[in-house]
Amino acid sequence: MKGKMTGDRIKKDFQRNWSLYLLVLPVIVFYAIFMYKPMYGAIIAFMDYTPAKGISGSDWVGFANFSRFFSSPYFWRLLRNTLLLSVYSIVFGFPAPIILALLLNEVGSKKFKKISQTITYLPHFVSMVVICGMIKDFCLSTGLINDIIASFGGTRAPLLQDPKYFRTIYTVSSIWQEVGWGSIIYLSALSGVDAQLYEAASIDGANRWKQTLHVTLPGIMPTIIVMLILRMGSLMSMGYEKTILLYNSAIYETADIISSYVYRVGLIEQDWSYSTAIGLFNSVINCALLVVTNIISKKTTENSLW
Amino acid sequence: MRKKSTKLLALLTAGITAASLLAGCGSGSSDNAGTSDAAQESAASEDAATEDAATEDAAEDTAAEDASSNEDAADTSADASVYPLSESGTLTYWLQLNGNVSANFTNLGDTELGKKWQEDTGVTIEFQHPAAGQENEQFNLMVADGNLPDIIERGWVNSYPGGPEKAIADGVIIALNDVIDQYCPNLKKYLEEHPEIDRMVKTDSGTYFAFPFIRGEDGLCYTVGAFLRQDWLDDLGMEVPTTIDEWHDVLTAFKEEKGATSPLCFDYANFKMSNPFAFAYGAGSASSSFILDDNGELVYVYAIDGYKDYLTTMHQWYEEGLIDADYATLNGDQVTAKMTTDEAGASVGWAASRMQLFMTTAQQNNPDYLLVPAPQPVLNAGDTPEYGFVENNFPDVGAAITGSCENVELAARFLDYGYSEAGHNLFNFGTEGVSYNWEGDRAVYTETITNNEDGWPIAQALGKYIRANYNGPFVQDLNYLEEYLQLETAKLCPGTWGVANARKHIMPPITPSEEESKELATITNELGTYVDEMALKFIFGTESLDNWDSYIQTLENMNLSRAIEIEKAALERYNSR
Amino acid sequence: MKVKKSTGERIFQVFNYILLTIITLVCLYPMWHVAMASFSNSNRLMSHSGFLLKPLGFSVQAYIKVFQNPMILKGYMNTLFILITGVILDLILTSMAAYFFSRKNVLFKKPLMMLILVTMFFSGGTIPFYLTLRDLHMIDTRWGLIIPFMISTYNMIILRTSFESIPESLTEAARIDGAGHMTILVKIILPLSKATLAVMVLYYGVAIWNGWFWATAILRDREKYPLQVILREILISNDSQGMNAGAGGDAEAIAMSIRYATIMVATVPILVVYPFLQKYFASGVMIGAVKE
Repeated sequence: MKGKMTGDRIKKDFQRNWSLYLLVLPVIVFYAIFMYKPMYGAIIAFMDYTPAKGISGSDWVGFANFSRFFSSPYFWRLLRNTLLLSVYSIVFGFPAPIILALLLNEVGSKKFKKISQTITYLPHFVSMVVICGMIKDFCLSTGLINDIIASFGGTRAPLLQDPKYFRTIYTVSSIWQEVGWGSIIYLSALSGVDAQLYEAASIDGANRWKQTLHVTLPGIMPTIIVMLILRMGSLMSMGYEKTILLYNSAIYETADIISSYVYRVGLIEQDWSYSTAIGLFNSVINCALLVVTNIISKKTTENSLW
Repeated sequence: MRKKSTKLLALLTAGITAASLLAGCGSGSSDNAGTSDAAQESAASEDAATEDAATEDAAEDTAAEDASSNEDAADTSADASVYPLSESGTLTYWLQLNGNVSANFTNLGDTELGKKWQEDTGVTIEFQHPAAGQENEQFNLMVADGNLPDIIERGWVNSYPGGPEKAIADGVIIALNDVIDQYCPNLKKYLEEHPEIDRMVKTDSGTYFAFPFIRGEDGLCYTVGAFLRQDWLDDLGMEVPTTIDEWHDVLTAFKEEKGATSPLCFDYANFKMSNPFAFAYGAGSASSSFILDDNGELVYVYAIDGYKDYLTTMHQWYEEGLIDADYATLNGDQVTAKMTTDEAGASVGWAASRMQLFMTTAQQNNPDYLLVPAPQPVLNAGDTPEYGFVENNFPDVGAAITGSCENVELAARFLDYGYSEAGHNLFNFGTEGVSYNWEGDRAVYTETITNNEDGWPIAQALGKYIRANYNGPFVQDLNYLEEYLQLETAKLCPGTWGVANARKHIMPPITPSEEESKELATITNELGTYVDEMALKFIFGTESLDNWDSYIQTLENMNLSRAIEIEKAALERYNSR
Repeated sequence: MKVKKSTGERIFQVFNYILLTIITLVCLYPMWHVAMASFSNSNRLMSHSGFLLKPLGFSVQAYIKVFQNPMILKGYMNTLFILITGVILDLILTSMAAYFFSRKNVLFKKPLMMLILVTMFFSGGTIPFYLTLRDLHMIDTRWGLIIPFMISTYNMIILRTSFESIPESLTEAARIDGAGHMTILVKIILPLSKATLAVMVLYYGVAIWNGWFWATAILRDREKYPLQVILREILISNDSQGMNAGAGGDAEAIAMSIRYATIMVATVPILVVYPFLQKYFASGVMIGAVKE
């Protein structure tokens, strides 16, 4: 009975929406080829893949590649570095654009606001290659940052050679690059907050600070939550790009993260299956994190992604 | 009516977009004209086939080896190739484009050398080049994929995880014994005349895997050493240092009297273990991580006591500000900048492309600027250096024919050209009358090279006409280097740097068997990451040398002894070749 | 809304202006430094330390050198080709997807959306992706840098939200008049979403302009290299000459000012374009962000 009903529904749906489905066909093809086919290829994580035998002919090894990773001397270090770098960029990087947006929102002069916005957006458009080239130059013992340190009486130190500075360099430069761009979303949300609420609040005698606390922040809270969920979901997905452009073997201790390790193992050391297994492990954790944050958020704030 | 037409529009757009998805594929293959579609399709199955064939070959070869060596003497069965070859064709050839070429050309085929090479052999080559600094990534992706260009030129012994036997077993490259025997009279002749080189360019099982780059004479193997500012030494009334202590004094004087901010400045990436200071402690190595110690015993260089002493000295120098503070991240450009502007006074590098280049650059502003090579330093005055930088005559670069190549004979005959007399002259000297002339039996470069009209440095001018200033499938001629080294002090380099016994301590290009190689690759990958990291930490002092024992313990936990075991077995097999 | 400001608020205002000025300067300075360094005399630059407010000497020598490098110009042309073709195809496909997912009463919308969302957080990894490109014969083609990256799911969601915000009454009216989906998309939806589309152009454009890894992975012909790959060779690559140990070469000493001039040449174009699109940001991004 039920089956027939769904059958009918599908039939009706197709009759009504066939042209719509036709329209979306290329999109489906795209996702099937470029997203799902490689996902199928990820089964080499459970194999001892050799190109000569191909995916169909390589030997199955079960979870051997995974257990090799978990027992690797680098496992905890990679996990720690990935998480710490990520936590740093959430703790410091996430509020930064919100604060910038709030500050900009308080500015009376339209012209000042415009100029300030235009300039703070700029770094977002500079490519990662260039950013990292600049960071490397500035961090040299003769570089700009050391010039500043020295002018305050500090001693010069090659910053990119000392493990203890890497996280700071990484996080600060990321904030520098993205703070302006990240604030756009919050600025838009701010402009969407109902002006009547402010009037009501000021009639009640609330000053600017109180208004910010009780009107502005709640007004942009849904945006903040959605952004936070997305951010949490990518807690473990620190990209390799910036890391491999910046690091050197002297600072692996803090700089080497899961994705850069996957990159080295797979693309330099030819350990394809092992590399894919680590990548897969990372993806699974990501998905789990996303689902969990979403559930928490749904329960506590009634905001969620789905 | 109207409704219908828009529906059609929807259909059409969907169609077009879908078509554009497919068009990508279509144009992809047409861009890939070099490798035929059929080849791509059948790559997978073919690889499987070559794999079987390869193992069979290997087995056969060992048997055939003995027989053929007798046979060859009497009967040189290989038919001489007549260039240009009667059979023409197109091949794809993958290699890293050298910096001196890429400065002015986008493709080796556009250079005079590339044109003449194709013209002389009658073979059309489509050269493929990866981006500088990303060559390993691209190579490994190609291998993962199994669809390869016809010829790949790179390192196979140290750079291919697991070595050439594994590359052959993986179906990446093919064993060349029969090929060389049948189609390559020039290479065959050379190897027959030079048995000690013949031994280097094949695996334990006697398999040839590539058309090797060969340094024709020992004088070409002493390519790296230290050099420093003679004009500063004169000002300070000091001699060229010969011991580590003297070096310390000289560098300190450079720092204090000459205001050099980084008295000793060289790039870690290139010379981390191949610098003369490491050799002074018997802990240097030109390429392999394994060396032969005083007793001829095979050791892992990162685990010996001499290495610890070396690190102790390096750490001390670093603390005293004698080594460049940015040691780990320096690149060649930065070294050049510092050496040519009084920031640094001593460096480690190649005679022509570093020392000579620094001098020609700096002398434009400071005519007194003079660099001299320093001999391999020792620990105690009066000692004779025992260890020193020396490369194998086969420095592990070779052009291999891949498992995807369909016309092996053509590829082989094409590559054999480099070992013929005409090829030898082309690769070492270029085009007669254009880039060089004969003066007696010596080739002398013309003004085109030495005083280029476009203002190119010699290295780049050479890059247009020859390949001897980097590498390739041919035998490098000492004549090239003697002509390349134009400045008086640069000419002294090979003689000054050479250490008589150095060759006793380097590992020959050994080749673990296929089963061993996979295990070895896993161990050495892990070890390599760790020692590289720790070396810098010890030098910078972020890790105290008091922790040396736990460092050694970690190496043991990473299965170092097994790696040594495998290497030793392979070395024994090499020695009994 | 003229409300008299309290002293505290005035102090805050002053403080706020100062703080924002500092933030703005911090964002600007590194680029300024690079710009000034690129016009400086190379030798003086080497010995200089600290802030650089104006060029040390004035020289365009570095720029002449940069433009003499044949690869820079070729890289530009390649990037432009990939950029223009890519952005156009990206927009077409992304709007089609966004349109589909913004419709109501479509049975398979939700499951399809889930399948697409999964791809944001779950991927096969580099090597399987490369194998896919190989199967499609996209290795060593510029199309391999365009087609596999036609939809960014994140961008698609933003565009969808923007489409959803268009009142249904408008599209319904058109539907009753007999307009098909394509007509509605092209004639009604897209013109009303100009702001978001401008943002899409920027998002996709920036991603394409800045991409380098896949170009180094699949291209084997230097003639096809986009600009960022050349940049990477100049700025990052730690001297790959080790492979050629021995008489190996290093390219002519690249003076510091040339490095900086290269950065300028590669960055200025995109910095010039973006203020023109900036006016769309506020409206464009907002719609996408407020509700997912």
